[in-house]
Amino acid sequence: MFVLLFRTALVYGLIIFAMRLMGKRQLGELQPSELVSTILISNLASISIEAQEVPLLASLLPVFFIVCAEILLSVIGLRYPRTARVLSGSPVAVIRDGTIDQDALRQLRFSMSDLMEALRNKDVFDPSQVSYALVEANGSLSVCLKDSFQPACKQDVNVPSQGMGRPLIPFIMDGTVLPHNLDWCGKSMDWLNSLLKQENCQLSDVQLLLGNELPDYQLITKEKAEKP
Amino acid sequence: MKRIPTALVLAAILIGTALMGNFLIDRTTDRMLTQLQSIQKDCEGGSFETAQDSIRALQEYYQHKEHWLALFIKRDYLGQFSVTVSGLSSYAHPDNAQDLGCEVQQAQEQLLVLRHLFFGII
Repeated sequence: MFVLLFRTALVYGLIIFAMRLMGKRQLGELQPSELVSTILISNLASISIEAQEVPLLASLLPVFFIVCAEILLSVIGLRYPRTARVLSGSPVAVIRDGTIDQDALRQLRFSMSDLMEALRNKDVFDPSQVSYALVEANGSLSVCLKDSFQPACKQDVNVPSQGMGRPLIPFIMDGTVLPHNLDWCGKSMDWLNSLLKQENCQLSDVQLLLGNELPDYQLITKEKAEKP
Repeated sequence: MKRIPTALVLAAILIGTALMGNFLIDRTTDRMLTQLQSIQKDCEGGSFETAQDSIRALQEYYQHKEHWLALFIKRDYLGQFSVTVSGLSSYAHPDNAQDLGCEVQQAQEQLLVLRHLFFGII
């Protein structure tokens, strides 16, 4: 039984390493090759855990082969865009200037109800309001509305910018300083230490400290867990 | 994490492991097949004591290599072969010459199946 637990722990750790190695692309919207590799890896991992007569090496070697292939193919795709088009496909325009391209929908085997559903997910209920809509390689729909239907922004209504600066970003999370964020906002460790001194708290007491290049900040300290 | 160099290093390790596995399985099974052939010849020639020594040598060699083979081959196949080989010595007697012949052939077939499963593409 301990062998089973050990195999499970080992496979679990190695699969996490494999997914980390493949990067954030795998965790977001999946391209076809990425979907295939994720499905294959999950099946191979479950075989490694369930089938104790199969050597771990024999089941994990294919997993890491797929990981390497995925990474190397993505590098080749970057250098040679044609390869990326072959592996992942290309986006296809389905609406131009409010007109639905029915040929494109037929090629994609996208029904009208699929298109309307995808549009409604983008809060668009009238295709004639769409300037340009693309079905991406991963199957999602990207929509650009016509000028007259786009929501107004400050520039449109001539409201001047109030100098709000950059959005508040974390400087400390769970007691750990994020030095890159400090540097990006032009703040230093000295500033941070003087702030903590001013707030009368230690680094380890900080749950979250948000700030930007302005003097504004938001500090949330850790709460002590309530005893039951 | 530097993904591309890591992927290249991993690919090199995978190729190295696959080559090592190929070499190990090929050499080990080849040697065991040769030993089984020599046991069969000794049995047919009536030299049962030599056959016993060869069987003992085969069993020792297999025991020595078993944990390496287990890295690449399913344990049930190795288990079957192990059972066949361990029973050979009891047949090394003039009265059981035919049975020894059958058991040796069975062991050879199991090794050939193992090689086919490991090296076969389809």
